[in-house]
Amino acid sequence: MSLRSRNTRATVRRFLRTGATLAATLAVLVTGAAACSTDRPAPRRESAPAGASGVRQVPLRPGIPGPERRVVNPFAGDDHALNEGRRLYTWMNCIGCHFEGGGGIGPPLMDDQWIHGGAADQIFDSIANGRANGMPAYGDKLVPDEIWRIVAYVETLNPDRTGASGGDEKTGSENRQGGGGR
Amino acid sequence: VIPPGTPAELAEDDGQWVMAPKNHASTRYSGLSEITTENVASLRLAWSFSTGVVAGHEAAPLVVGDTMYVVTPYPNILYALNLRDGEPRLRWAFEPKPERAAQGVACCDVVNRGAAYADGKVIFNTLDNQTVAVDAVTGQEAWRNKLGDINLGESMTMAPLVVKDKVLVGNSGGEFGVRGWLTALNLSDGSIAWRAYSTGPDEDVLIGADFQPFYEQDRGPDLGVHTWPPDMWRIGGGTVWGWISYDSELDLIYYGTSNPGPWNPELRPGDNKWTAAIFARNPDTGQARWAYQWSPHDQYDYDGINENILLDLEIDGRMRKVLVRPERNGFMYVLDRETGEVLSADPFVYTTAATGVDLKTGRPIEVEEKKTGFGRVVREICPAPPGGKDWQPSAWSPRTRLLYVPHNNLCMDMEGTEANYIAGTPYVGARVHMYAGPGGHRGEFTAWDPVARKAVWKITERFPAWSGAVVTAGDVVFYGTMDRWFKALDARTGELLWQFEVDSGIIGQPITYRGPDGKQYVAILSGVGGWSGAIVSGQLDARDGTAALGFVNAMKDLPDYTRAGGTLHVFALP
Repeated sequence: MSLRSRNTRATVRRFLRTGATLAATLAVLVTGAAACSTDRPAPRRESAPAGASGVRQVPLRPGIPGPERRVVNPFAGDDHALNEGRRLYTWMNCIGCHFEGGGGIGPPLMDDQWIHGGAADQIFDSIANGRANGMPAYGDKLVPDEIWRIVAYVETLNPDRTGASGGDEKTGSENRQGGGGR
Repeated sequence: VIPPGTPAELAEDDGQWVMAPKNHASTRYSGLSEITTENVASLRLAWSFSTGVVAGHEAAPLVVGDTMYVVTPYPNILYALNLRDGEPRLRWAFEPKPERAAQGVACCDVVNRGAAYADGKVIFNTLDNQTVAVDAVTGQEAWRNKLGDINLGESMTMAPLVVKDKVLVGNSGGEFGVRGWLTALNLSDGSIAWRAYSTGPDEDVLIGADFQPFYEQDRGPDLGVHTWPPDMWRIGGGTVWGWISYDSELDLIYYGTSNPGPWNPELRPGDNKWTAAIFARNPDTGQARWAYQWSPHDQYDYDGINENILLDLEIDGRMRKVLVRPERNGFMYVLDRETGEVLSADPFVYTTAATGVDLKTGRPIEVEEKKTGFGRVVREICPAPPGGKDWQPSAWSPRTRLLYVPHNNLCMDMEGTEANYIAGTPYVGARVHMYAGPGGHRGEFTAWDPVARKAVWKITERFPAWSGAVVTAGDVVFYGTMDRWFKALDARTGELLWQFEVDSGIIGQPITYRGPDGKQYVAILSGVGGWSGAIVSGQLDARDGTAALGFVNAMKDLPDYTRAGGTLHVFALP
């Protein structure tokens, strides 16, 4: 397991360094991961069609599903990358729609409800390719390792996952809400 | 059955409701008097209709002849509903099919504030910047025109106003670095007659030889350029998403412009003209007659788009043609609408950001300690960004001589942050936490005397009073609350005479009309949402107080009182 994830991470980095598109990166990684974990022949996905990332949004698959195949975030657990992700999250105006995880124009990112899936590669896919109800496609604006860093930061927004208390500790203003008697 | 007449003529007939503000003066007053303070307690639900859309319903229904027209939030379906009993309720539904991605540039839920009727057509805006005219009888499209671009952050949410042969519409997107405009379309075919930008050179703002602003600071060439850092007027806001009024005698339209962008004021030194302002224009040419800024160099998102009620009032012993404006910055303005002079401006909510308005210059007297900027949290700024009052329109009764104002009681802490303009994404630069103002309640409903310049009575609401108001010759005033009550008050005393609990919180605009059976009806859309109700309609997470531009911090308990919905309710006496 640890060997495989190290290998996967190294593979991702290699692809990122060579400037491969996300679609191709994921297609090859998914294929490779599948090949490692099953005896069945992997589907031929070397050349994913333009715009298709190969990342599934849903767990429901017709027929007998094979094992779950996920691409891990090469920057998961990397504090430096996470801080960079936080900066990008603000600078790319993610914060203007999702705020500090509670949402606004866009859905919350701090809860466990994920419309298009909350796995790292699914979040990556949402950022890179956008979503139909208004999530812009940032794939032309950011290179893949920047998106992965944002994913790393987004994954810290859920206090249930990180043990943090949410996004409000900075000012303490959250203690002064509406006073309406209940 | 479509009655003949222009919108102005039909507005005189209390059997109809042909434009969201009832009439060009925007009084939202109906001469109907079947429902009175004596009998309103027996009001009952006559019929209802689900819009099938679950989002913030801010629209006013229209009534033309024996048909009611309702436009929904995105996807902006237009329903024609039969008002005659015993026949199918739904005559037709028109689906304009706006671009789904437009939802990503709607700052404050995917709302729509209503349609307008004229010349056999029902005209409304779609979230993806189309103005659409639909044949009022057949439900077939008459014309449509795409006026803006979601990739620039533009959207459209306002209710059009028809003046003579022009359809007046404006854009939204003050939180997206949109350059605001008002556009006049030809009623016959939807082609553009003129467009007036709110920022930029005089040529674009349609400022020319006719322009005679009252105050010195508003005179000079190209102030829409020179009051900004270089080129920032191009992405500076001043959108036109609120209300328009029209005086046929002076032949002038009046409308306000939104906040400047970004919110962080240190990023845009200068007065930032003509944002947070009001224009008086000729409706045929668009040429500006005068302009005035409510909040020059706005620091707090004090959008200047609220309703303008056109009245003739005796001020200091002299009859004046005035424009009454309950403004977002917390002051109730009375302006001379011929000249743009501020005759009075008095706080109608608790204010800490300004101590008053200097009538010599027209400028608010700002409080130094409340000035915001980079890296410092300024506390106890009142009112908060939704203002003393947001878009929710007031009603004026010529009988009581009072203005009925649904509004907010909110304060905030604010910190300026960096803002990076990327077209089609938010451009704000502020971290905000809102909370209830003094007293702990978040909303108020105030009866205001604009001559005596004071509140006559005031009642409090748990949540912001985010619905419009309507007042009648029966001296009954109606409005709805976010905690699901539709209420009738005695217009003279404010006494609660009747209330009805609906399915979802109310942020719509009530109307009243005479049905084909001769009875008086009152109609309101429920369906909580909008900026204030985004925590429910958008299922936001209350643990992040900064969510929805900091409004979530003040609305954490709203989900305990209401869920999302979307239903038309029509009431009548038994």
